[in-house]
Amino acid sequence: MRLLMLFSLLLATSGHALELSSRHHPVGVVVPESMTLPDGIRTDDKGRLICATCHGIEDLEDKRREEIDVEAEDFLHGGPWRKLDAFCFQCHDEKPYQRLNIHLQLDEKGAPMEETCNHCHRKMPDREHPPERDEAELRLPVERICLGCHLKTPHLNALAHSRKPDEKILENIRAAEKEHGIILPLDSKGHVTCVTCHSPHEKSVIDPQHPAGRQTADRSVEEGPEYLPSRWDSIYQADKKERLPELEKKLGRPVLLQYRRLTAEVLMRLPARDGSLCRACHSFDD
Amino acid sequence: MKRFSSIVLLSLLSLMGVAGNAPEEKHWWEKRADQRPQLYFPHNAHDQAMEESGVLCLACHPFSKTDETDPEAVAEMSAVANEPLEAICHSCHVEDRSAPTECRLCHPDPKKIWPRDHDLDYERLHGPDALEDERVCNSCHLDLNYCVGCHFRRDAASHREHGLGYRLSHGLEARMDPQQCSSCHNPSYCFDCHREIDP
Repeated sequence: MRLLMLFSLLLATSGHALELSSRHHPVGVVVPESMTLPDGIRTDDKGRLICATCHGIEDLEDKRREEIDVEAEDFLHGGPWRKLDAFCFQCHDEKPYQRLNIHLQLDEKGAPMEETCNHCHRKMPDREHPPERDEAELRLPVERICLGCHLKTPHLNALAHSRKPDEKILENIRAAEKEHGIILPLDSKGHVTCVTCHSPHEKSVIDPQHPAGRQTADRSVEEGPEYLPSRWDSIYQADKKERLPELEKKLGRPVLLQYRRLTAEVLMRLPARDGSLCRACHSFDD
Repeated sequence: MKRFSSIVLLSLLSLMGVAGNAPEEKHWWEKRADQRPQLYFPHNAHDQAMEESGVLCLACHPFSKTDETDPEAVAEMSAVANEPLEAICHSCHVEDRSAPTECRLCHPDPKKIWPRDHDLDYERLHGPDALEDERVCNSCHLDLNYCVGCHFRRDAASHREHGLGYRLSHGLEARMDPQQCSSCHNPSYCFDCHREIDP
């Protein structure tokens, strides 16, 4: 975030000469030996940062602010950058800047960390007796609580699922809950929401035999899900080949759609990789 | 009182009318079916085969992570990602033929997928195209029985291609459309009878 702010405040309001904001990334500093600069990124002959280290616009330092096209592809080398921090992390270590993963909820002894629980709950619930939804004392309604960290559009098809299921699907949900001994909770308006499919709790925070605690966790929360390359990807790409350029033209940016095989999951109520999760709601006549 | 009853009745009727006519919003998957009514995809029938191939629901209905924040853009990306077309289906049904190859299984109306030149009498006119590049035909007609079924027809005990006495009457048809004969008979078949007899 700090790095983002540095670049967002890259150019201070200035008069004639280009004046940099006090929060602009410093120039003239020697690149430490521990830092490896990516190919094409250069320093001056004494190994110090210069404008051209990051910027591709020629004689940038001699230009007036109004003359600089900050939208230009080469404003930052290798651009355009949709995620500006990706540019920064070419040189800087990403790890110290990562946000806390609040799904890592158990300490080394397997006990829930109260501080983590309190991100979502006003009061840490009793682990022995998992509360009902209205007793869970969530800080925000369940349909909004994930959005503090996650995007509203975290993955394809997410928004399309955030709707009220029809009666047939509701029946399927109830049957699946019974069959698998799980919960597939809807939000307060009866809509499918993040926690319908995803368990927010690390495995064993809630008794794994309890419907709210039963989940698919092939890997640790830290490792996250695993995707492996698939021979189907080339077939998948060929399938989208004709339609993607049209979409890219419309959106004005490249779109990458690929098929990677989901091989390990975590924080899921049921496995999606074998279709069990989908089948909990969707059934077909033939 | 009578007026009041009429007003209540009319209101109820209009409410029922409104409720009855209100178009129900379709699910996104139902809308897709409307877009491609010519395609038939039986989900249950694909379960086992797709599991064996290592692909399941997520191949056609991907939930890939995205950093796109514009809901409309994500909806458009999902639409493209969600609509498998030729390459995915044909990978099994045409390329490696690990799935049934009958076109009608998925395309109930072949007229919707065949080339426009097939619309009119193409069975009779296909010869030159087939001679020029047979592979074009084979891209759809995977089973050679489709060709052989006509080109290698022979009389059998159960049925005859030509009616009784056709040997006597065939001359007229042969002069009108010799190509029709040659779709099954090579020239030597004719010469067996029509050869010049040495004096």
